[in-house]
Amino acid sequence: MAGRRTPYEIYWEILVFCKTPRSFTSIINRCNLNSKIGQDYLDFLCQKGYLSSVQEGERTGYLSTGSATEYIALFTRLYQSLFDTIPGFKL
Amino acid sequence: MTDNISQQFAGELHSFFILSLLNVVFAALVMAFGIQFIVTSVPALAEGETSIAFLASQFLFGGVAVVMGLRWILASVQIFSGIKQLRDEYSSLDDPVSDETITGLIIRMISYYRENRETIQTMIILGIFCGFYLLILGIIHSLEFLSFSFSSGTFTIDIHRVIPSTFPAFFVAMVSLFSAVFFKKFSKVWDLRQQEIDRAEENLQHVLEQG
Repeated sequence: MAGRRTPYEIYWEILVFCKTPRSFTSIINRCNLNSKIGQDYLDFLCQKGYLSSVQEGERTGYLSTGSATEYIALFTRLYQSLFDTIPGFKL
Repeated sequence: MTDNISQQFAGELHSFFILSLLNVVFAALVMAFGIQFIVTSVPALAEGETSIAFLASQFLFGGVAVVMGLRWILASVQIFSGIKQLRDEYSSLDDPVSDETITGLIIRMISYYRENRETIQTMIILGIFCGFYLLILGIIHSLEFLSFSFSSGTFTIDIHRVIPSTFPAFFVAMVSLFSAVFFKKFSKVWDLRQQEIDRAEENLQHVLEQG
């Protein structure tokens, strides 16, 4: 049940998942993306320096860099504040 | 802060789960009422007890209730299965729930809402419509037990037959209207959150572009 996510939500999911080195396949499976779109997201994050490629034996993995911390923190704060600023739903 | 948000999230998830579950039950009741109206009108029509026009309208109203009920059940099941999946996932988490886990669930919830927003709006309309519809249906049904005396000019109602047959219709009508009100409330909360997200996206893009 991935639903309709915004690109920012997908970036956050990838960066959090890649706090430990992850393969391309595990990223697209976990974040529920197809190969082409998954590759586009990873290319963007690598290009901006949020992800780095790491060599694990014969396979290439992806790892979040220190720069990703600021984005992850801001995103987490913004989404959690949705429950602080707006009165919740109750029966 | 995360504990508080986690509890609030769990509370909202639980409330919406109950609302969705009740909605499936009430949709089934609406359909059952429709079937009951059709079934009771057929023998009466054959025996010629009451006017054909009255029975035909009862048959028609019953048919519409069946169609609405069926439509409502399908929409409710779709909503219910999604929220059940999220609730099961939350229940399987160990305490304390981390910042990232709860944020991930918030993303799942908002994306679930985006995907089902139209269905939820349809359910609000159906709930209001079914509520008023069942009220009318109950009134029509109660007319069956109403008699008018031309000589004395008085109305009499067989209260012992009216209450058992129309009370359930009125009850479900009220519940249907309440259900619509709560769905509206839920939708309003998540619409506000979506607006906040839309506003925050500029900020996120700015940070992301800086690299």
